[in-house]
Amino acid sequence: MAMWSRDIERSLYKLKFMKDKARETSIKTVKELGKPPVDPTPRIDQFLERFFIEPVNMDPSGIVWKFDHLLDVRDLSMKDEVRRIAPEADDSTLNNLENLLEAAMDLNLIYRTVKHYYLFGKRTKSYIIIAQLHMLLPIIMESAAAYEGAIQAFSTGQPIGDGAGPLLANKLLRGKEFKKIEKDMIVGETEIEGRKVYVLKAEGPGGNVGKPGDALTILLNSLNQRPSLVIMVDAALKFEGENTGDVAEGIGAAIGGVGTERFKIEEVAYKYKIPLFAVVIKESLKEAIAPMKKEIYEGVEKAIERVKRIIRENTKEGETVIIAGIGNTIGIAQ
Amino acid sequence: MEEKKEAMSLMNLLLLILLIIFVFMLLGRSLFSNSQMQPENSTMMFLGFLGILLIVFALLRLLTRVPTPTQKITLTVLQCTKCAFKSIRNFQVGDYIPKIVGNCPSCGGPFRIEAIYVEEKTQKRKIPF
Ligand SMILES: [Zn+2]
Repeated sequence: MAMWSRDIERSLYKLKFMKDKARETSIKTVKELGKPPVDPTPRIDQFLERFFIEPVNMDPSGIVWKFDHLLDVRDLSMKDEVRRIAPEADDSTLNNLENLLEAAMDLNLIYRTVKHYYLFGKRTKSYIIIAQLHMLLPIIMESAAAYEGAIQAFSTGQPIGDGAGPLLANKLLRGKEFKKIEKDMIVGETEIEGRKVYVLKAEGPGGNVGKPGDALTILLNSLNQRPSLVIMVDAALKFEGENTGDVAEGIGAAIGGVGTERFKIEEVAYKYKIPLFAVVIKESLKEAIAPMKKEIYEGVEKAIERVKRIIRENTKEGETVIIAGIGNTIGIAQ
Repeated sequence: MEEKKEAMSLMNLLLLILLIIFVFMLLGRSLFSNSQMQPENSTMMFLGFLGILLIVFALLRLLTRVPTPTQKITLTVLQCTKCAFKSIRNFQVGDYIPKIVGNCPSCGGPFRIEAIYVEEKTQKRKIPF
C-alpha cells in the first residue's frame, strides 16, 4: 500500500504541475488575444470550476433532447462567459479560447478527482480504494497528457488530429461555394465522378465541432432528391500497436461525443432509409487532441481515395451523395 | 534542457569508466598478489565481483535505453494554386488551412496554406507481432 501511495502521490504532483501550467497558459492567451480591461484571473479560476449535471436517466425515453438542450445551454453560456473575459477577441479566436479553457477545465477536474479519491482512501485507510486508483493511474495519466497536448494546439490555433474529418471536407470543397446551414455548420456542393455531392463540416477556423446531426437533418429535409448515400468521415481511436493514419471503413454513424448527434443522424437516416457509411482515420486519444501529425494528414489523403471508391461502387452517375466531415475544425477553414 | 541531458550522460560515462578501472585494480591486486590468501584479499575479490556485476547492469541499461524523441516542430506547407510551386516554413500563429498568404514567388498566383502538421523525427521501433 505504501508503494501504491507513493506512485499516486508522484502522479498527483505531475497532475498539479500540468493543471497549473494549463491555467497559466489560459491566462496568458486570454490576456494576449482578448485584451481584457481588468485582470481576468479570478474569472478564469471560476471558469475552471464549472460543472455540468447530466439529465436523470431513470426514465430514459426522451433523454436525448434533454441532453441536447442542456448541452446547448452549456455551450452558449460558456461562449458568453468567454466573451466577457476576452471582449476584444473575434469569433474564431473566441472559439479557440473556449476550447482552451475547456481543456484546462478537464485537466483541473482530473486533478481534483484523483486527489479526492487518494485523500479519501488514505483517511479511511481503505486499501481497496487506493488499489483501484493505482490500477487506473496509467489510463488517467495518459488522458491528462493528451489534454496537455491540446492546450498547446488550442492556444496557437493549429489543427489537431481530430480535425481529420473537417480537413477532408475542406479538401473536397476547395474553390466551391458554401453556405451556413445551422449554428456553426456549413454545407458546400461539389461533384465527384458525375455524382452531386453535398459536403458538411463545422465552420472554421475557430475550434468548433458544430452540430452535424442538426445540419444533416436540415439538409435532408430541404433536398428534393433523396440522396443514395451518406458517408461520415471521422477520426477514430486506434488500438495499441496499430499505425496512426491508417484508414478503415464500416457501416454506421461515425461520430463521438455524448451520443446526441449520433442519435439524430441515425434517426434521420432511418426516416429516409439512406445507407450510412463510415470512413475513419485511426489515431490514439493523445494524437486526436494534440496538434495534427503528418501521418494523419497523409491519412486524410488516403481517406479521400477511399471515399471516392465507396461512391463509385455504391452509386450511379447522376445520383446525390452527402459527405460529412466530423471533428474539431480548429485551424481549418472552408 | 537538451544540453543538460547530454552533459548528464557524459558524466555517467565518465563515472562508469572510473568504476571499471577501480574494479580491475581491486581484482588484479587480489588475484595476482604473490602473498598467501589473506582476509583483505578475499574482501577485495568480493568487492571486485560486485563491481563487475554493477558494470554489467549499467551496460545493459545503456544498451536497452529507449531512444528519447527529438523535438517536434509544427510546419506549414504552402502551395501555389496555379503552378505546383511548394514551400515549407515554420507554423505561425494565425495560420489556417486554406488561408491565402501573398503571391507565389514563381508565377505570382495566389499562395495557399495547404497543410499544417507536426513532424517528429524518431525511429519507431517495429513491433514483431
Ligand atoms: Zn505559382
